[in-house]
Amino acid sequence: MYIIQYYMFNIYDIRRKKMSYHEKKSIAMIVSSVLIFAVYALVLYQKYNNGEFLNADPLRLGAVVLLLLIPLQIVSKIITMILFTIGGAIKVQGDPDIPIEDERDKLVEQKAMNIAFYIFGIGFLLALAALALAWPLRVAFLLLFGTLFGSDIGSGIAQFRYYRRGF
Amino acid sequence: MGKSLVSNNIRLLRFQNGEMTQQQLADKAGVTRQTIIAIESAKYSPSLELAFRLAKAFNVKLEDVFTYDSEEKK
Repeated sequence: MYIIQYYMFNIYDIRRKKMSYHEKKSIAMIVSSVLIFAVYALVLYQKYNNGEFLNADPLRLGAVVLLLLIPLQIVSKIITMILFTIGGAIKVQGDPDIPIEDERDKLVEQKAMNIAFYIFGIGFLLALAALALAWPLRVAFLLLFGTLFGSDIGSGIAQFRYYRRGF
Repeated sequence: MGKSLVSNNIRLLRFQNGEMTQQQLADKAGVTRQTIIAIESAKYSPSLELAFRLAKAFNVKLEDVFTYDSEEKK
């Protein structure tokens, strides 16, 4: 009887297992990052096609493009978080899965941030290598732009993976 | 990302403590239910402080909750 009761107790726990708040948040962050980068790249591409960058200094243009991307990323993350929290609060009324941050969340965040730094660090080194090899300046900036995007996505995927599979 | 060498009896202890839910234990230890799930399935080794808080939640000694499976034992 005791064994059956314990077995049923385990089954109940397994059935309760669903995607956590943090896993959903990681996915929302990845989606928002992809959207922001796609929209930003599209706007830049249209401006380029319209010939708006023809007379621009490539060094200054690259710097402005990258500098504008950082506040855009921050604002998009804040908006996503607000929308996600509001949406979550409406949808999961009464759900005991309270989104508090504990030691594991901090560790996951730290590990994900490390991965983001690694990706961007590699991109920075590649951009320097491109400049050292006297490749066009746009290659270096494209590498920086690409790895900035990659680091954002990479950290989101890592966060999701750590929450899903553990570490 | 494999299983940790620290194993635990949390599931059994929850069962023995009036079929305590993961959420109830999480509330007692001051962590999220997801952290309890991760510890239970040996996907995460808690800090020493949290390990003591978990033991206190069950009113048992730390070694009754966690055991270290050293490589030599395998």
